[in-house]
Amino acid sequence: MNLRDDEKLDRWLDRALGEYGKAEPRRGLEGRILANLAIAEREVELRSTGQPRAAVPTFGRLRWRFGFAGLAAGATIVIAIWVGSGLRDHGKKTVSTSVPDAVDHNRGGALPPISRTPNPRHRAAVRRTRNSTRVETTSVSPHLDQFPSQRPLSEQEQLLKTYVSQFPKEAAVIAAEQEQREKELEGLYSDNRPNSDSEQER
Amino acid sequence: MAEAVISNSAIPLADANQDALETAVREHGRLVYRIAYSVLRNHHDAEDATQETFIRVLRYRRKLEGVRDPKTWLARIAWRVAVERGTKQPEISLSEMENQAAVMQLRSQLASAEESVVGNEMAELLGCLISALPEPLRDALRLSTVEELDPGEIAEVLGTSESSVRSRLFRARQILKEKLAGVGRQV
Repeated sequence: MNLRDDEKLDRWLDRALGEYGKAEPRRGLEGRILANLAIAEREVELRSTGQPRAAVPTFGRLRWRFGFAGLAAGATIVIAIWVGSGLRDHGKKTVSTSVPDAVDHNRGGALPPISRTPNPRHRAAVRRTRNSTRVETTSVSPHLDQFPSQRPLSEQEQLLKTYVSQFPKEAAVIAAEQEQREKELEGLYSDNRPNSDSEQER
Repeated sequence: MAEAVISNSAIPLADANQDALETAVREHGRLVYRIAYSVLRNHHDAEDATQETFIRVLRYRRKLEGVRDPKTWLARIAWRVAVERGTKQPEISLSEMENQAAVMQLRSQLASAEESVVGNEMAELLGCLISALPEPLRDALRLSTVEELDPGEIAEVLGTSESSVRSRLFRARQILKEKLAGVGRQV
């Protein structure tokens, strides 16, 4: 490369480097920068004061809220199911205690009178369950298909049936007397009950 | 030595108010953009780097009590931002056809006495040659293309002496001329 070429190359390089460094930003660069700075500055200030970034709830906060709401709803459902099953179980227990009474009553009352006397606690339970659920209502009045049972009558029952069919008037008198006697016994039991309780306490 | 630009003297940028920052943006926004463009060679990236530079200024301004020379201080931040972003970008290389076109253009321009405009291919060829320079020479040369910066300010930005910058610029130009002359002879 001779001196003239070197000078030319120098000039060319100066010009090329000058154009290499020429760069004009798009119009409004300062405005865009200042706008972004204003946003950034606000964020910095909010962070330094410990305030939330924006009044609008973020997805993270919403997620927590939805989570809690779902949890509460789930817990409510579980409690409702649990309470419902508990009531159902209670109703079943009532059925099991009330059925023998019905059977005995239909068969003519072989049990001792004291056992047929309704316990106040039991009565209250039956009343409560009657009011609360339908299951108890059906359990108190059993299905006629099942009661009396399909079991054949015993010898004594057959004799009683024959006696009633042959002498219905006498049977009615006996039944009335028996009922009256039971009532008297019930009255006696209810009168003596507080005394006996107090004696037990002693 | 570049840290020496920080002092207690009053300058607009040292104030922690919005007006000072706005003044800095209006006065030096273009400089910051050109520094970023000299490294990134892309308008969008250069604008992003300019934004990032001023956001960094916003973050650090509370810690800094004062800056003696805001222009150089900003130029230094802009340079760092641009270099950080530039390392993530792939190297630009010319295709065979673009290279041939650039060489032909260079030959015709050197042969003719008139000063014609440097074309796109030539600018890209020059960009590739500059990218291939050793890093200290390349950095000094890139900053020297930003017309707002003189060798003393380039030295401040690069954290070196002014004489070192002049020496690097001379060596960089020598290498470029040799390469360009070699390209011209090959055709």
